Amino acid sequence: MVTGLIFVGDIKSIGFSFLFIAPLMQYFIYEVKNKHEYYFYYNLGLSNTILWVSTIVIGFLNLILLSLI
Amino acid sequence: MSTLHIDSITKSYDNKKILSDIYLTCKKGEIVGLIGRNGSGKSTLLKIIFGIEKCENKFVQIGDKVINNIASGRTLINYLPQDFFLPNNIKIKALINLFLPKENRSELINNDYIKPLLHKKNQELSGGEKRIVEILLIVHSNAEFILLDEPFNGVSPIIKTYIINYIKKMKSSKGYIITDHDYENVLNLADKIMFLKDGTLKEVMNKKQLVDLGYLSQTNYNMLIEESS
Repeated sequence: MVTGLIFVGDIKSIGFSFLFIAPLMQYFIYEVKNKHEYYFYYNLGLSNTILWVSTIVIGFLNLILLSLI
Repeated sequence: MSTLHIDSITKSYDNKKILSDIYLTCKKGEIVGLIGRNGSGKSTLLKIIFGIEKCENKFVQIGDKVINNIASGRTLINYLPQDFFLPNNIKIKALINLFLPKENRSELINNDYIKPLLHKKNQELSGGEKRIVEILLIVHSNAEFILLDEPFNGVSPIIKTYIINYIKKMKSSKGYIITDHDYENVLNLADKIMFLKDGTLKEVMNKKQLVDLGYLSQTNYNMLIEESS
């Protein structure tokens, strides 16, 4: 969102920035820094694939919602 | 009564067989202790059973259901890893609500060890407090089988005894497979002891066999016998 505001400034760009920032955040927070926290989600029946797909889907939903504003 | 069947598990690293055609069963209400030297493959075996570690071959079944991955084992198998796994920045009460079904929450919320921690965030807890929260969460989950990988890591003796007694008290509703470096904890808790060596699993029928298998020295064994008598 911040990059969307800084670099372009319109709402659609903020939506696009979610597409990049959400996976990046997941990568750095869960894959690099706190890898063990994945076990919390594994115990809820959520695999790595499901978690990555849901992050990307949420990014797309944000983009669609913000594009509609 | 439902049973966890594990069969034909084979795993290699760099052409070296770590696990070779492993067969193991665990019934509901039973505690299976898994012991072996460092690097023998205990944690790898638990991860394969849980569904997060790939292997050449495996067959895991609970009742009639074959477990191939995490999603198919949902509500059937839970796994406590060696390292702390609860997300930071979330209060313990919220974690309980996220992790446990409604009907299982109240016992944990009213637990004497958990009550004072409810409004603290996970990162504010000590190592021992984190561990007890994690173990009790897993034990109170709806899963029928629980895999505990070194549950007593960083836990003080009094908490260790509490956890051992707690698992014994709760064992009728679930099956447990437990590993620990401190063999005494496992021997204390388990109904059946399995020894993992050179990729194969053997059932240990008596403590003396641990000396013959090269897991305990004669001195360790004598101390163990003295303590238990």
